[in-house]
Amino acid sequence: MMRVPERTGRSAPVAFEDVSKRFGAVSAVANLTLAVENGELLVLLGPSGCGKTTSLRMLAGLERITSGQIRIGDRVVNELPPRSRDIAMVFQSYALYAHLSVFENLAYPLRVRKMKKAEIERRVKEVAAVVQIGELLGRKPREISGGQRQRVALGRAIIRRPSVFLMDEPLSNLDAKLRLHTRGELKRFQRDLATTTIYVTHDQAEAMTLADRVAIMNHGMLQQVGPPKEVYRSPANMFVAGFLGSPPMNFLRLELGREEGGLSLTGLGVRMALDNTWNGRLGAAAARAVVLGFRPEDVVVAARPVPGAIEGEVYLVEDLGNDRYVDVRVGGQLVVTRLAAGLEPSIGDRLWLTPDANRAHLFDPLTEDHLA
Amino acid sequence: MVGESVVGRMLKQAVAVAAVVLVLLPIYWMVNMSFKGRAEFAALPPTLLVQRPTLENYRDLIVTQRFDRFGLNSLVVALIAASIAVTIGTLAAYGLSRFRLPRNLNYHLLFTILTVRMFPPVVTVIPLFVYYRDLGLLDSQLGLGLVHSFSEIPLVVWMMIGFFRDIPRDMEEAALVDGDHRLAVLRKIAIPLAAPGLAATFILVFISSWNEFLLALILTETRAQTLPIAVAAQITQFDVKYGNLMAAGVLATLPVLVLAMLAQRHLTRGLTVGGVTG
Repeated sequence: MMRVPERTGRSAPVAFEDVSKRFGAVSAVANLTLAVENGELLVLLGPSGCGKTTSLRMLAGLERITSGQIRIGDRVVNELPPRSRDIAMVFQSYALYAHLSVFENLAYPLRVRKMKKAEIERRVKEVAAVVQIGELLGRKPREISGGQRQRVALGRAIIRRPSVFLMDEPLSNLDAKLRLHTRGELKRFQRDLATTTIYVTHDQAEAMTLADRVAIMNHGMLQQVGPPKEVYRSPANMFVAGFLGSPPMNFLRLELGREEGGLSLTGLGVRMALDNTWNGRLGAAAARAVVLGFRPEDVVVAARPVPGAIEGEVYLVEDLGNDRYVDVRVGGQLVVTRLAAGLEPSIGDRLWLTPDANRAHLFDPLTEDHLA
Repeated sequence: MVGESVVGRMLKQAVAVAAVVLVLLPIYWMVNMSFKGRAEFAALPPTLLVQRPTLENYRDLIVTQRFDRFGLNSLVVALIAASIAVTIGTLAAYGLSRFRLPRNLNYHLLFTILTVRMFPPVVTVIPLFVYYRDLGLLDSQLGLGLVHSFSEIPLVVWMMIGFFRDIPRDMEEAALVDGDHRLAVLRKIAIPLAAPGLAATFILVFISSWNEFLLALILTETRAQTLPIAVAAQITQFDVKYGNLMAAGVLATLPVLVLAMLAQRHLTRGLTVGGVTG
């Protein structure tokens, strides 16, 4: 377990204010406004090309800002070179200095600052102990394993005690087991350092476990910001709903209708009544097309007909050991559900699905925004 | 290679041996002849291996003609040329490889640099002679070194840009974030990682300057004359001193050969792959 000997106490908040980045005619980031609180771990989450890495690089000063403002603490850093921003960054590739030993890699940020030799030695040993690479100090980066390189990169970032940490997919080059382990350590570590950290990833599980808050981006635009649980439970739109969670949320196109004062969904051969809470949330919505979204774990699955349940045919059964998921074909679409104990469906069987209306979501099929 | 027949392998080796012989034979002949005296030179058929080796050719070159002075000139000129060309060319290559200029200028500049090498040097010789006369650079080591360096800068830029492109950008960006200026990054990260390439480039420029004939012939006279001119001078209006010519060839080749052998490790590493990712 990594233990941090002393806190920095110099952490600073970060703010993007209407920041945009264009590469020629291509808009990489559009009007990003995002405040990162002091000491918080904020995860920038999104698919590749969504602008998350560009945002991080703008904050680092490696990419020029087209318009807007970035603040670190109370300084506007738009025109400051990377070296003047008091940040440290862990790169996806680790970017260790290939021609320098592990010791020199760790010492690099200190040497740049003309620190005294004895002090450098002391700090390198201290950090090496923290990230558990004490016995590797004499080696070159190519002579150590991927996990060890990751630790050196982390050590090089923390040795300077910067006011903000930037991490660009730092775990994506590790194998699955090591990634899980390091993820836990990283979380613990950031908590102990209490230094503002901005962490970029495309892995929603990483985001859910690490983040104090998640900011989800798509096509250069911020979709939603919030604590992981909140974003998971109340997605702002279909993109967020579909990106978080594994397997992802199911979407079915249905018709919303109002009969006898109550709301109901029709389609796929069924009519589902929605309870009264929806009435207040949807207001006086007229009959319209909607998208019903529900998570694989929020479905009751039955092996015999149930009134109001959606009928489907088993397409695939996936047994992960602790969990079993079944893909059900419903009117040309696939719905993934988690199986309760006791059910043993096989391919071709018929199943009846009842989404839990209280945990389900309705989206506008055109704007893809959450309704209510 | 797996599945390769014995005949195939032998054939390959035979071709390799033939190629080596083809390349080495003239060199052998040069060395062989350089130790022959006047009498043996005239022998018919020529002796494949020198029968009565003599150092008289070498003595004439070194003691009488003072070849050491020409050697020193060549060395100084080549060092000046390689140092200046590598310094300027490396800086240019780094700039072009790391900064994107507007209007596709990176590409245009790179191409424009190359045009320096596109016309035959003989075209520039007369104007250069006139300039140099006015500037007082005729027959000086510095003058010849400068001309050589300018004509080799394109080569340096094109070679070094390749090596710089092989260096992962991340590594330099990490150094920028860690607190360095761009020039410090060049010095502490890019140059050490491109060192084999830099050494190879330096040696290529050095050799090119060492062997250059035309400019050296026109722009030097006595004080700054280099080895290739001195070698050619063994052919006079009335006589071709074959023994001297061969020995002069050996003397002019030897230092470069030693240099290339000393730097062989760098040369092969530099000329094959970048190999800097860790």
